[in-house]
Amino acid sequence: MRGIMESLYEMFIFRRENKFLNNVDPRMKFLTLIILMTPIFLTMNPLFYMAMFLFLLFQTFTLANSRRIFFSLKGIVKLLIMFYIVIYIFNAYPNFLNLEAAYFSFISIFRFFLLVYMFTLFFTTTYIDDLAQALYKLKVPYHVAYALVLSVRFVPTVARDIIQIYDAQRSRGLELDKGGFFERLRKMLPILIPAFIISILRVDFVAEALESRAFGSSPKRTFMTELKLRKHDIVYILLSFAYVLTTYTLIEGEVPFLTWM
Amino acid sequence: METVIEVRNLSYMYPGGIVALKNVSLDVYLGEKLVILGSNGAGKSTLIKHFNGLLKPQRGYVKVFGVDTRKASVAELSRKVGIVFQNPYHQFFSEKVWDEVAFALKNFGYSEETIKYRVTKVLRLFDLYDYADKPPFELSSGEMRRLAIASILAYDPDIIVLDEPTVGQDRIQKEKLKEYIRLLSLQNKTIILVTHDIEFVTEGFDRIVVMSNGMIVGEGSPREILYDEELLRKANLILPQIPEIALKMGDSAVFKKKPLTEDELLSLIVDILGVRK
Repeated sequence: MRGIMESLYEMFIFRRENKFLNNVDPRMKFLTLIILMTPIFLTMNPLFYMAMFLFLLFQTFTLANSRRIFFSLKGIVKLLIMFYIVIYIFNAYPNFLNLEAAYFSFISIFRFFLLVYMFTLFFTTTYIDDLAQALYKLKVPYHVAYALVLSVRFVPTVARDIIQIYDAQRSRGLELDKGGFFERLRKMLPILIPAFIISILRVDFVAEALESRAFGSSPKRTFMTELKLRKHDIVYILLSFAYVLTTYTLIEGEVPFLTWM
Repeated sequence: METVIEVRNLSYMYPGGIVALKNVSLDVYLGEKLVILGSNGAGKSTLIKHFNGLLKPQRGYVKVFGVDTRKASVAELSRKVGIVFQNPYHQFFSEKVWDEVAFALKNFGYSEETIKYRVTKVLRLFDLYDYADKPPFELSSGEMRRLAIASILAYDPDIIVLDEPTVGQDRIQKEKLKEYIRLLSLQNKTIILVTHDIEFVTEGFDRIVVMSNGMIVGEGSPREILYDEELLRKANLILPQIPEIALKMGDSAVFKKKPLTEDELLSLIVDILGVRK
């Protein structure tokens, strides 16, 4: 549990880094995310998934802080292994020695993993205020954009709270890894209840802080640093699009997006 | 003196790449009242989380009563080392104050009779018995902090670690806390106080360890440490008021006596002025 929370914390905490992906316009990054995501739903070919995985790995190593991204993924991978077991049981029932079920469960998890990887890459390299601005420029009302952004902004805060609660309860002898399934579920209560209470109390603090700084008093809003499309944003999205198009066409023998329409 | 906690060459780096501890070595002795002093981010909390195995050493080792923390579970170690965390909100979940105190005792498998006896005892000790049926979140912040300490003391650990217990407390609460620490010390408990509140540690403690940037930069008696202006500055701390006033007096007697309390300072002033025969 600590591992998963630490991963979430790393994924969503803000650190300004001078890497290529961190400097790409979030609007273009989001569009690229959609371009990368769409063909994953069009095929179940593991070869194409592998090609996408290699592309993400390439981006991680050359364009982003790879250490941080891998750490963010580490906790999630543990969860995926658990999901795999559950999916396998459902797919294989009643014959539990089932190669076909193992294969399809693997493909489903691989697909899910790729999606998680893409979102990790997006969130670890995007400054949350830029995201708010990007949404605002896409004509989303600022208070709606800000509400969305706040929910992301508080992920690391809640993750840190849960780590503290987890440590405090384990220090009082709570052993989460002992007992049967329902016993373990019951043992989550001492962790979940304080987490909920702290979060609810925080809502009040945030609301007061926002109001005291005249949030929403003017419908028009300016930003300290204006987002501007630059050449490298266009190059990034075009290259990503070209990669997806080429690999999909080569592996599947048909052009994506076109056939889809 | 018997060593209860032995830390050797301990290093720890957080997943984000932040180095929290660098080659830390420390001995904690039975029955002493030790202060771990340092500014925010010095590595104090990371260090104490190694004492009951919440964090396992990445380099070096930590032994508690001779047991390597890597080879014991948090539950086993917590029976010996009770950590009272900074924010009571991070632990309360029960509907009643009574259940909150009984939680650890139930986890450790004590009998109903023992639980009843110990909870009653500790609630009375901390003036919380009248609130036994109240929800913990309805208590005042001072009472909450007392409850947090009570919930640890209930299972009677030999070593009690208090993480920043003075945060958000007024002076009356701080004086009460000091009284509880003195009481625990009388029961031969080993007390480790982690704080950045330099004024709080001028009185009632045996030894101070100063941390900065994940390292121990100084260690000694309160009188030595709290008069070491250079060391404190290095650790991003400033002199407590009494030593600061005493040093400003510039009299040679100051360095001989190094007053830490109001009474000690007053007696020094009286001596210097020659009022007292």
